[in-house]
Amino acid sequence: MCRFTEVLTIARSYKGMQRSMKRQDMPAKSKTPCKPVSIPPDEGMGSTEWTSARATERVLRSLPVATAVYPALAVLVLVPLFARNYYYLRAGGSCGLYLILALGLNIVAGEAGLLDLGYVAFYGIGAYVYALLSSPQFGLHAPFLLSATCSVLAAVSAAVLVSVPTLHLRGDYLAMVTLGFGQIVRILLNNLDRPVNITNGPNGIVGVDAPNIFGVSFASLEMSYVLIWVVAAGVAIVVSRVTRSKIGRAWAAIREDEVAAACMGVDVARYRVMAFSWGAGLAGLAGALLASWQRAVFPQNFTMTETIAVYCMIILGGMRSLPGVMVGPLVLVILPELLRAYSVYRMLIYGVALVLLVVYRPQGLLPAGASISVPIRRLRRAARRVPDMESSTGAAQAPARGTPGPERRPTDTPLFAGIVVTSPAQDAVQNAKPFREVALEVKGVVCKFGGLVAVSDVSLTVRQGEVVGIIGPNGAGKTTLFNLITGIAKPFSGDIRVFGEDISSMPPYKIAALGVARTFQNIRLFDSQSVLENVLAGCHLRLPGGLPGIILRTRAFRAHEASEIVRAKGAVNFFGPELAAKENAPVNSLTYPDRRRVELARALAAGPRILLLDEPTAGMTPEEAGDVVEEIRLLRESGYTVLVIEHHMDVVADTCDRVIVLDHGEKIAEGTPAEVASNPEVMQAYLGAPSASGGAAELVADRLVGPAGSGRRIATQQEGSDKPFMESVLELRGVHSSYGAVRALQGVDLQVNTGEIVVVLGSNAAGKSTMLKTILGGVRPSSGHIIFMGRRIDALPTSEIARAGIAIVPEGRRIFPGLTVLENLELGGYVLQNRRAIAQSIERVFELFPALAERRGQRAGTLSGGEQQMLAISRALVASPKLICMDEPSMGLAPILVDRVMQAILDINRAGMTVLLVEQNARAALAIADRAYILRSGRVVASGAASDFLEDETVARAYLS
Amino acid sequence: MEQVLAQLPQQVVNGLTLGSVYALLALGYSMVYGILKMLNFAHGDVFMVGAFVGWGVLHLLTPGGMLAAHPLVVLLAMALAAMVATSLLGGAIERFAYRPLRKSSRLAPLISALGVSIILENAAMLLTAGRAKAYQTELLIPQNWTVHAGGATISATRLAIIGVSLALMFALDFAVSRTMLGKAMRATSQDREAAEYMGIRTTGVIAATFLIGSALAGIAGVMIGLYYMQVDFVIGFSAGLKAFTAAVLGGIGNIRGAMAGGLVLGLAESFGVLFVAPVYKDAIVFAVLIATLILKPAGLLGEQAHEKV
Repeated sequence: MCRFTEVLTIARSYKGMQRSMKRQDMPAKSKTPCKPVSIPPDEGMGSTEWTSARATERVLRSLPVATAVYPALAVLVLVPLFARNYYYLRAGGSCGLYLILALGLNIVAGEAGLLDLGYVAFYGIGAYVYALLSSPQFGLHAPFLLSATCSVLAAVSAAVLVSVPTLHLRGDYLAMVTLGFGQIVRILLNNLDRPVNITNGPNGIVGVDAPNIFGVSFASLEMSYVLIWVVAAGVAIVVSRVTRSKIGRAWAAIREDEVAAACMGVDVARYRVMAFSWGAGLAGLAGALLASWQRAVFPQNFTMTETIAVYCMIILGGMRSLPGVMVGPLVLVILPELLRAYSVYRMLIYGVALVLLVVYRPQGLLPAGASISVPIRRLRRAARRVPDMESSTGAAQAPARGTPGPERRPTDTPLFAGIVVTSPAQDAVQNAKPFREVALEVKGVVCKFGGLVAVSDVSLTVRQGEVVGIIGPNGAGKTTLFNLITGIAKPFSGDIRVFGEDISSMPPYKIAALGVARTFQNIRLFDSQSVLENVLAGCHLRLPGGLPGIILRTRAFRAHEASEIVRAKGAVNFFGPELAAKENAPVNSLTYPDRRRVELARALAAGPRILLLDEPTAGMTPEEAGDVVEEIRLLRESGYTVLVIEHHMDVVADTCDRVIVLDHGEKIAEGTPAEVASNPEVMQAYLGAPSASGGAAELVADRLVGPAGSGRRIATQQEGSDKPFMESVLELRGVHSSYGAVRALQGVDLQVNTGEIVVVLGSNAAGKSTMLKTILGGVRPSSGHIIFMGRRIDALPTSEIARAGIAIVPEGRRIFPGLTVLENLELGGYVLQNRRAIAQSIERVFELFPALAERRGQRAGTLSGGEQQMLAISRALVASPKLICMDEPSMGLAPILVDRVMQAILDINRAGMTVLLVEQNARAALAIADRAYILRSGRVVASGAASDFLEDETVARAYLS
Repeated sequence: MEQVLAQLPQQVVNGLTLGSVYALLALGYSMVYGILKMLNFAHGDVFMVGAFVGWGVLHLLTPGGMLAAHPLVVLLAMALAAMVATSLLGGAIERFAYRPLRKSSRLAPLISALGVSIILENAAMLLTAGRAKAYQTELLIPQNWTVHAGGATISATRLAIIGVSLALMFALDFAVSRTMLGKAMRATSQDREAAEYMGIRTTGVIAATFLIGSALAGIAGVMIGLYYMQVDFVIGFSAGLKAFTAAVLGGIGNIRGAMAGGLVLGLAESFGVLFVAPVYKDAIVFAVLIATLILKPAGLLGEQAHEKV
C-alpha cells in the first residue's frame, strides 16, 4: 500500500498537471466532493492552439477526397467535350463501369473483408435483367430507370440469397461458396437457351435499348459515356459517405474483429449481409449500364477473369482508399492499352507488372490512411445545434458543484467529457437511496467447454455505481465469466440478468445495447483504424444509421454525428492531452499502454451502464498501472458501474468496493479488499495454485535489495551443493528487446550454469516470456549479447538456436495437437537426425514419464492439461539439449499437478539437465530452484540463492495486504 | 432409369479417372494451404506446364512419328521430366512471388499468384503459338487394350491413370505420416513457431511443400494429356478451379481430405451427366461444393477451428 502511494505520486508528476491537482485534494478513498472530472467540449476546443493545429491537419487529411477525387471525377465526366475520339471514349466508358464495380467490391472485400470470388455474377445478373426487360428478346421495352432498378433489386436479392445461408462460414470457405455461385451463374447464362430460350445462350442478347431518361436519349457514344461517369461519380460520393458513416465503421469492425464488433453492439450478421448487398447492388447497377452501353450482353462478359481483374484494380490502387480505388481501374484499363504496342507480349508484361507491384508495394499505389474528415469548425457549429448537448454540458457541472458528499453518484449513463445523459433531478433521486438498483445479477452459472468446467455455479450481484474486482489465479474462469456476461460464451445452466433482463440467450450485440461494454485481456482494437475511428466504433449504437441521412448528410444527421464525434473526442480526452493529440494516428502505431487506453475509451464512448475491464493493467509498468488506478477511480467517482479483473492486488485494493475471488471456476470468497486479503482460503488458492505470487517475490525483492537498491546481488554459493563447480551455459549481457509496442527487456543480465535450475520470477508481463523468446530468437534483441556455450546466438534463427542445444517448453505447451504423442516426441528429437538415436531417447523419456508411454498412439490434442504439460517437457528432453527453458509450466494446472510438474523438473535436473525456469508460481518454483532472478518491468531487480527467497514466510501476507 | 443404371458402371470408371487427377492436383492446393494458409492460384498453371513438358519430351522421342525408345521408357521420361520441371517452377514461384509477401495482408499473395498465373498462361500461349498440341497416346498405350468389368469398358490409359494416381497418393500419405520430413510438414502447418523450437527449418519445409505439390501437378498434367490426347494453354484454369474445389470439399489443409474431395468431385461430375445436360456438369460440381460447405462448413474431413477470446 505504501509502495503504491509512492507510485501514485510519481505517476502524478508524470501526468498532466490538471488532474494531479485534483488528486491532491482527493485523499485515497475519496470521500470528498467530486469535481467535474473532465474537460467540457467547449473548453477543450476553445483552445486556439488546439483548434488551429487540428484544423490544419484535418484539411491536409481530407485533401485527397475533396481536392483530388471530386475534380478528377468532374474532369472524367467531361472528357467527351474535348476528346471525341471513339477509341478513347470506349476505353473511358469501360473504365467508368470498372470504377463502379471496384467501388462495390471495395465494400465487400475491402471494408467488410469478405472474400467474394463470385462478384461478377451480380454484375451479370444486373446486366441480363436489364437486357431481358429492355430488348427485343421478349419484346419488353421497359424504361431505363425501371429496368435499372430491377437490375439492382435482382442483384441484391441474389446477394441476400447467397449470404444468409453462409453466415456461419469464414474466410476462405465463404470465398469458395461465392466462387461456386459465380461459376453456376455463368454456366446458367451460357446455357439457358434450352429447353426454354431465356438468355439466348452463348450468343447473348443483342439489340438492347439505349438509355432514355425522361425523354433524354443517351444513345450516342458521348451521351452514354457521360451517363456512365455521372453515375460513377454519384456512386463514388455515396460510397465515400456510407463508408465514413457508422455503417462503414461497423464493416471495418467486423472485418478486423467480429467478437469486439459484436461487443460494441454491431449486429454482425446484419452488417455482413448488408455489405454483400451493397456490393451486389452496385454491381447490378454497373451491369445495367454495361448492357445499355454496349447495347448487348454476352456470357463471356462475366467470367472469373473479370472478378480477378476487379480485385487487381482495388488491391493495386489501394484497398479502402477512395483515390486508390479510382486509380486502380484507370491504371489497369490503360496499362494493357499502352502495352498494345507490344501486341502478343502485353499480357505477359501485365502479369510481371502485377507480381512486381504486389511484391514491392503490397499496400497499393494510393493506400488508405486513417481519416475522419470533419473540419473542426463545422463540428463545433454542428455540436452547438444539438440542444441536449448544451444542457448536458451544464448538467455535468451543476450537480458536481451543487451536491457534495460521498454518496453522490450520477446514475444511468454517467458522465465524462461533459456529456451526461441523465438529468440532475434523476441524479438527486438516486442519491437519496442508500441501496442502488441491481445492475448485474449472475445466479448459479455453469459454463463448460468440452469436458472442462470453466465456470461452476457462480453467483454474484453488482449494484449500480459499485466497482467490483474479480481476482483469482490463471485459469480460474475470470475471463470466461466476462464472456458469459457479454454473450460471447453461453452458460450451460444458470441465469444472468442485466438490469433485470435475462441475457443468457441473447447475442452479444443485444447485450451491448442494454449498456454492457467491455475491454479484453489481449487488447482487441480495430488495428487498421485510427484512434478516433476505434472510439467512434464504440458509439455505434448511439449513431444515426438511416441511409437518407448518411447519403444526403442532412443538417440533423450532421448535428447528431458531430455530437457523437465530440463525445468520442471526450472519451479520448479523458486520458489526457497526450492521447488526444494522437487521435488520428492508426492504433497499431501506439504504445501498449496507449492501446489499452484506446480500448477503454472505446468502451466508455458507448456510454455503458456496466463496464467490464479485463486486466486493464496487464503489461504495464507500475507507473502506467498507477495511471490506470487513477482512471478507474475517476470512473467510480463519475458513477460508473465497473467489474474489473485484476492480477495486481494493490490495484484492486485501491479501486474496488468489493472483491470476488474465483478459483477453478468456483467463487471461493467475496468481501472488501481487506477481508479477502486476510481470508486463508484465498491465500491458499494463490500460493498453492499457480500464478500471481510473482508479486510476493517482488516484495521479497524489495526487502532484499531495498527501494534504492542497484538490483544485482548474485549469491553464487550453493547450499547443500553436491554439484561440481559450474561453468556458464547461457549468459545474457545487457539485453534489450521490445515485443510489439512493449519495451519488454531493458538491459537484462543473467547467467545459467551447468547443472543448475535457475528460476526467473516476476508478475504478469514483467518480461519473463519475452526473455525466453529473445533467447530463442523469436524476438531480436535491440542491443546486448546472448552467449550460449561460448558462442553468440543472438542473430541466429530459432531453428539454429534449437540445433545448438537449447530446447524449450513453451508457454501454453504448444504441443502439436493433431499429431500423436509419439510423433510429438519424435519431432522433439528432430535435431538428432537419426531414427535410432531418437527412438532410444524416447525410450529413456518414457521411463521418466510412463503415463505417456501408455498413450503413445493417442492424438496429443486429446490429452488432459497435465498430460500435455508432461508431453511438452518430454518433447524438449528427447533432443538431449544442453539447456531446457520452461515458460510457466505450472500455468493452468491444479495444485496437485503443479507439484508433479515441479517434481518432474527436479528429476530431470538430477539426471544432469540444466534448466532455466520462468514462473509466476513463486513458491513452487523456488522450492526446486538453485538460484532465482526477479524481473520487474524488463529489469532484473534482484537475484540470489532460491532458499533466501523461500525462507521468508511473510511473503504471502505482504503480497495480499 | 434402366438406361441410367446401364451407364452407371462406366460413369464410375470415368469419375474415378478424372477424380484421381483432380485429387493429385488438389493435394498441391491443400498442402500449401495447410502450411501457409494461402490459395495458390498459380497451381493450375503449373499443372498445364507439366502437360506441355510431357508433350515436349514425347515430341522429342518420336522423331518422324516413330517411337525412339520402348513406350515404358518414354512414359517414364515424360513423367520424370514433367515432375522435375514443375517442381523447380513451383520452388521458384514460392521463392520469388510468395516468400517476400509472407508478412503482408492475406490478399497480396493472392494477387501475386494471379500474376504468376497470367505469366505462365501467356508464356505458354506464346511458346505454343496458341495452338493445342496433340498427345499421341496411341503410340504409348495401345487403344485396344481394354478390360471389361461389370458393364464398363476400362481402357489401359484409364487404368494407368487410376493406378499411378492411387500409388502416388499412397506414397504421399505414407511420406507425410511416417517420414521425418512429413512430420515436420505437419508440425509446421499446426504451429510454425513451435516447429522452429524443435529445430525444424520451416522455410525449407515450406519450399519442400511447394516442390512436392508441384511435382504432383506435373505428373497430373502428363496424365491429363494422355487421357484427352491433347493439351492447350488454358487447361490450367478450369482444372485448377476444380482441384481447388476438391481441396475445399475435402477440408482444405487436410491431405486425405484432398484425395477424398478429388474422387467425390470426379464422381459427382460423371454422375451428374446421367441426370442433366452435359453442359451443366460443372454447375453440379459447384452446387455440391456449396451444399457441402453450408452443411459442413469445414469440408468433409476438415476440423472447425475454435477461436479463443
